[in-house]
Amino acid sequence: MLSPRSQLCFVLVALTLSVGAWGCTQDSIAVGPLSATAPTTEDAGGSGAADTAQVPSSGWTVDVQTPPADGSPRLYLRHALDGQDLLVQVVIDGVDDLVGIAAHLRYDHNALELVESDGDASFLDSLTYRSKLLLHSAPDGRVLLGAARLLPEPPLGGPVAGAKAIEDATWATLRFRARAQPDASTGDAVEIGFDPEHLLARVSTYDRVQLAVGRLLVTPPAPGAPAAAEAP
Amino acid sequence: MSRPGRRTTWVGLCAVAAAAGLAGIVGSAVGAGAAHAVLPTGASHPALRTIDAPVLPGTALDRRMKAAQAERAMHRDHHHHDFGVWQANPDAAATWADFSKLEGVEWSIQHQDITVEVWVEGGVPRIAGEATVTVRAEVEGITELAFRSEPLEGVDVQAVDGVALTWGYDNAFGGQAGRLLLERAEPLPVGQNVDFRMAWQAKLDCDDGSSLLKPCSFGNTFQAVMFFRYFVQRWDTLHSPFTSVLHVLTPPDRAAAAPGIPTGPQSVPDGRIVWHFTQNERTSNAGFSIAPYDLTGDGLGAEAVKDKHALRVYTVGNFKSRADGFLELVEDAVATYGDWYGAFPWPQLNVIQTFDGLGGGYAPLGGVFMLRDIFGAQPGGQGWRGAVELTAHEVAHQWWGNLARPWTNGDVALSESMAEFTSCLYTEKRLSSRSQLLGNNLSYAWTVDADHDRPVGANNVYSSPAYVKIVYHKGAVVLDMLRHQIGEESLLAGIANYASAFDRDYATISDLRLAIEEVVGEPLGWFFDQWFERKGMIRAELSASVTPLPESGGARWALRVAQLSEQPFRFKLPVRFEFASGEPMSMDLEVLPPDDGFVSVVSVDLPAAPIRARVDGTRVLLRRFTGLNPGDVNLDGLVDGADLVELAFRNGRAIAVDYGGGQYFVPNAGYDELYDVDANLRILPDDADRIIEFAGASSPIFDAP
Repeated sequence: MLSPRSQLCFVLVALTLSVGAWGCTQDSIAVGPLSATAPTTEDAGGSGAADTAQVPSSGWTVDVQTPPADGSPRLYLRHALDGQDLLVQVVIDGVDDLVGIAAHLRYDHNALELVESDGDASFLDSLTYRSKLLLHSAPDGRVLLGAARLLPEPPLGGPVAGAKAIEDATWATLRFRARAQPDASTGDAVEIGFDPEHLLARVSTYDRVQLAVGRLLVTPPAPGAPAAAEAP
Repeated sequence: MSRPGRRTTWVGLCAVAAAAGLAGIVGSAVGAGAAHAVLPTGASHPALRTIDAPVLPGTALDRRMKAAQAERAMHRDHHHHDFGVWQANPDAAATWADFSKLEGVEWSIQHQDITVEVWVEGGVPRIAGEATVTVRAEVEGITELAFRSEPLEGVDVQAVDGVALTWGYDNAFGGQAGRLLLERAEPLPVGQNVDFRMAWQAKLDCDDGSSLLKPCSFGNTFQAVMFFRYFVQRWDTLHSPFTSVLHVLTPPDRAAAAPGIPTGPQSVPDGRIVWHFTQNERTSNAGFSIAPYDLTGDGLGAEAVKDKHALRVYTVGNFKSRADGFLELVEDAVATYGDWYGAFPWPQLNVIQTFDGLGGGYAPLGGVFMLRDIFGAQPGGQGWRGAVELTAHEVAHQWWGNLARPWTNGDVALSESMAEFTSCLYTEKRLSSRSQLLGNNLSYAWTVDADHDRPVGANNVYSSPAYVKIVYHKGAVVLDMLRHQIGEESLLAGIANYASAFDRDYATISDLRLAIEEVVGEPLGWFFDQWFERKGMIRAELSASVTPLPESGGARWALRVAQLSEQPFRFKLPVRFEFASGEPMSMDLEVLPPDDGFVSVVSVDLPAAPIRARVDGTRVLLRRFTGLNPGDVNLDGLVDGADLVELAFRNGRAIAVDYGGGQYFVPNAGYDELYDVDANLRILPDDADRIIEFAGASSPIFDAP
């Protein structure tokens, strides 16, 4: 008899086999390339306008707005659906010489419940530098994110070197679940996105990097909506 | 309000909350929804402890401290009242209030014409001297004259004017000084110069003090006498300046160097030669050095003194190749100080290379002696920064200590703090670096034991083991804080006003304050009281909060400053705000402690919530800050990823290092105690772990204006 977590892993593995590749472990939410069912379509025109797509299924409606993949630094969200849950990945792309990055991811905590979170800052690791990850769920619908690289035995002073060429690196994976809202009007979209006043990325010169950011507009399923169909 | 009680209550609440497993909610006492991290265990204020470690050997600060200690030893006779002067004549201070009043005292030494020679006999350095001492009485009835000297041997005194003279000499104060008493058969004629001659010999103890701090040297290259006073002074007064001519006998293959207008040499019958140094300014600082000197700059003789001062550099051997560099450096410093404070006041400045054991530099009127190795540096090369710092300090003494002179022990800041500040300002301008000032700041802030601390203006500051850190390091930083408070232009104008008012005069720290107040037009008593009359520095707990302003779309940033010193300080706090987008903003916020407490709140409305608030980023203030919300290193009111990012850039900055089996203090300008979350004097990945541990913690809500 599989444990609930093992069952989840099975489902995810099954989904992965059919739609893409998310890795999975017993102890954490897996991270990996995005499922093809939740596209972040590239806009080769590089107009800077976010790309959007709507994915109606399993009661969730997800409106994806992603900065174009034109090589510019961006911070965007990928998602996947897992039964009643919405899995959201925070992805860093197009950043060179990064020393540290911080963000607040906001969501409507009256409509959504963050049930699980996991992070990975290894995109900042190197032979000499070790990454540090900050991932904290605040009670007001905010996830505090941070990642930085440090030398384990640093000299007294001297320059800091940034990580090279970060491409499509998954920083965190979050599992959201719709809250039961008997008195709320269903069908209202809520945003999962970054607080622009708490966005910071610095390179080795201490200069800030301007990040184009994405967001999700999600409409949670109504109470009692059917779960996502299991993959064959 | 009782500070200790309030802190205890706060920590107590946190402990209870943690014990109850309520890591995110503390309770109504601090506002609903607020979270507060528990302070690091081990001490209530671990960041406030003093480093019990010496300065890392070989560092610039170490060299500067040794030089300052050497200089201190040089001035000991003027700043140690070990001879019972005040017991002998407690009213003397009242009659010697300033230089201009010297003529009004009962009698004074006007001039000394001194001939000296040095040699080594049986391995012991010796000095012999003959002097014509000119005195003048200002009142009737003066028949007794008392003089102070070094311990002498073979003293002989003769009258010159034919008036019968009896005299006696004895060693005083356990052999540390000599006292010469003269009694004339007739009173001194009022207003007329009267001469008498004296001759003496003395043994020179060149191993007085540590091996680095030698008052004299008799090596193969240099024979120099720095600390030994080869002249007499009035016994019962604090200050006894006089004009002089010094004649130094040397072998024919040597030259003498000393302050004053140099002439010579002339041959004497026994084959030696004699060098002359005319000092037309009244002073009692002196010294001379004998070596195979080369002279760079203006030549010898009165004809070298033109409309402006003459400048000479004395070096030996291969060091002559560096002399031009020092000539340029000194010329630049003199010109710069002239712009700041007023024209160079003396007819000449002789910069003299002497023995390494001097340890640093010494600056009598019109002269600068510096240790040999300094002269090996050249612009842009190794050691040049140290050479600039020392030279700039010693040249500054031509104004501070020689032009305007400290009146008492408690006014020594008018010499050393002023010279060190001037040197710091000079290196800041010329080398584009505040490292000298930052080193001084960190040195006082972190290594002065409370038991050794004294106010900068204390009469007993000289006796503290931390004298150099208090007077040189703290004193220079205090003057820099004054620059921050009133502006550089006003400060320099105020100091120039002081230099003019006390030209060739004795002054107190109050005189400096009044001269500056005259220029800036605002009272500065509060500043001088807290920084010259009190010990210590700003010690404060900081916590920040950010409150959205929906109407404007901006945010209010508030900083709670809880001072932990015995008495709170008033200061101007520099703050720089960065935002996620838009230009940064910089400003100064005046922190005014309340009349009856220690907690101030300052606030400012901003166009957006800041992503970082950097307080005192260039360490202008003499301070130690701790964060009341540890982990919120960027003071935006919340411990989050932005704090982690900021810490990454300071990883490794430490002021305590392990070296050779010991722990040493190093003045690392990149260290900021706010980032040292676990308060171990080192910013390391462990501090990043603490930020991660405290993530989500926000500052306690406090009443913000």
